[in-house]
Amino acid sequence: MTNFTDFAPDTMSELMKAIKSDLSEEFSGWWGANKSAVSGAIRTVSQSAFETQKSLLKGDIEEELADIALQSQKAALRQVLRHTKLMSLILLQALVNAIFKRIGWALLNKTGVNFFPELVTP
Amino acid sequence: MARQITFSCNLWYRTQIKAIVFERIDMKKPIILGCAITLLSSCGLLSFAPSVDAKVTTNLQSATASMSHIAACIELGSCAGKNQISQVEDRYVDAFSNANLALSIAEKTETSGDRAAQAKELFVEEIIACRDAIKRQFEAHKQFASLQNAGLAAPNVVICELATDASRALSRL
Repeated sequence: MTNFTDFAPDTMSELMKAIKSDLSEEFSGWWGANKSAVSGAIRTVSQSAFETQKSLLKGDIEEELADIALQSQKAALRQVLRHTKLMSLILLQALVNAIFKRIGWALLNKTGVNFFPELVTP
Repeated sequence: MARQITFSCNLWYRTQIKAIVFERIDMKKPIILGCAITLLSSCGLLSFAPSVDAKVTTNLQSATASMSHIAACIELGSCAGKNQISQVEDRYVDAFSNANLALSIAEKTETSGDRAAQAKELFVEEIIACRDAIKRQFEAHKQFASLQNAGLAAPNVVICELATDASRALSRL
């Protein structure tokens, strides 16, 4: 956990270094979470599609049920695409927030003025 | 005279601020950057996704947990088809009502800027997909003798899980 309360950079390069580190941390967290979520979702949908095909060929399920199952699988794939797009926007916002937060803390610790109260909560 | 005093005070005040903020502390650039960011933010240019109420996540988590329970029950064969649906009917109702509640809260989310509005729209679509998946599975469960090995339940859990993940990420913003 990053300690912001003691962060009072004297130079711009010190601040930039901290921002770079925040951005890198934010990105790795996002990448780790999304990589596993999206690949897990695709794996599950593929397995389900295989299962539907197998059960239909064996005559265990009706055609109508197979059709409903395929609708769900398609909906899940559409959800994956939508999710990827949404998560990209969330990442951008998280990165912007990380920059604001770091600058906000630096300003608060240096000047006592809280420029971004929604991100900087002492 | 009064004007002169005001001017002097102003000058003194400005000099003090300048001394405190810009000279004594080398924070000129971050302050200018901060002001620029505030300005851009107020125009919605730095707004990519809105922050969402944490209640949406709680509701979606409950919906996903119910769908996961039903999926396990179907796959294990203990409530595979229409004759055993009564065992999980409450779970369906719980999942559907939680998804609906999440949707109504998410729809009220305020946004600033086009991209944040787009993010909200995508999120609302994710919740609708989860709600529709619950309904689709319930209808199929009422209709067919067995859903076991049909490849239907797991994708529906995935749909609701992704919506929950998105909600968690949005509520952290």
